[in-house]
Amino acid sequence: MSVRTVVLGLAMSVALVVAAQAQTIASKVAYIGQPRNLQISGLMSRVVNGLLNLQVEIHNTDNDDQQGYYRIAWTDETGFAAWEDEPWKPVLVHGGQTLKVLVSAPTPRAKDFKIEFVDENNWASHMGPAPVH
Amino acid sequence: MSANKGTIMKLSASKIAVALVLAGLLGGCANSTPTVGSGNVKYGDSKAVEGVTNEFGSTDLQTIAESMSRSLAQFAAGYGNRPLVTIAEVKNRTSEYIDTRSITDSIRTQLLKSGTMRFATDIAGMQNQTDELARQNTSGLYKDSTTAKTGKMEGAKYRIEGAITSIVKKNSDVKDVYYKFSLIMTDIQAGTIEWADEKEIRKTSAR
Repeated sequence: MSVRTVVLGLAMSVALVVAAQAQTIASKVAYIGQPRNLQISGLMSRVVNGLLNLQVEIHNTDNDDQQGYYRIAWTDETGFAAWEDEPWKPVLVHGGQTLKVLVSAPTPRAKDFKIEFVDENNWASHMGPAPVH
Repeated sequence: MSANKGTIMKLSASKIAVALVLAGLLGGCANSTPTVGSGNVKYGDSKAVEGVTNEFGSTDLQTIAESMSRSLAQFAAGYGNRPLVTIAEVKNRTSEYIDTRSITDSIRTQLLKSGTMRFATDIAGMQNQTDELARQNTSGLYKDSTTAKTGKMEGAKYRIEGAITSIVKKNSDVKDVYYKFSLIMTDIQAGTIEWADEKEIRKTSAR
């Protein structure tokens, strides 16, 4: 009985941690359009030499290669923009792959961030003409 | 009390009338936009991904400048004080025309804005710098207290230089372009390379 309780407790703890993690990622990502095959599946941050560093994991749920575009909006501790609009950066993720993208903040003033992400399939409907490849 | 109330009501009515007139005027103004021309010219998003052709484009320039400046800023932030550097040449070893100066200008701008590095006048800006110094010191037009003295310029501790190369392959169906932008930072006195990084870009298009 006590073993069962411990197992149940552990399972609940894991579920809570996973839920909290998912909530954290969701609060840091702004998808433009409904995310289709590419999703931000992992996110880690740390400060190196006073600069915020991010490791963003982008997972492709499809079997075919998928293209997406991302950029980071950096803010200071008061919520003001700490940097100008970044250029959109293309990223290619192979079928089933989880790609790790390493990003460094442009300035020590950047204390927080929001990832803007758009699937190539949503680019035309939300961002204008799709880039030609 | 009621007289006051009447005055307030009267004022409110006049204010409402003025507000209505202003709203009408503004509404009238809203029909015109502050533009000139027939409207067939549109401003686009300068940060959008450009894929008109697979030659070197604005997205490549922006991506390279951002990647290099972030890497350099991360390295420079490790120093206690902001290192003084100068940008030397970035050689274009590709088969197409690329304004490498524009890339290094963007890198320098981003690093200065980040507050992690200082930049000494580079070779390209030296003529203007010495001309101005000479003008202030030899023309006799300036107060001594405000004249920039000669012999006070700071020498850079580090020099940044690099190259961009490309490999182009094509067949009847596909054209593939691979760019590699390499940058190094050298300690000028010691002659040692203290930092280096690369940015690779692959662009493929159907023919």
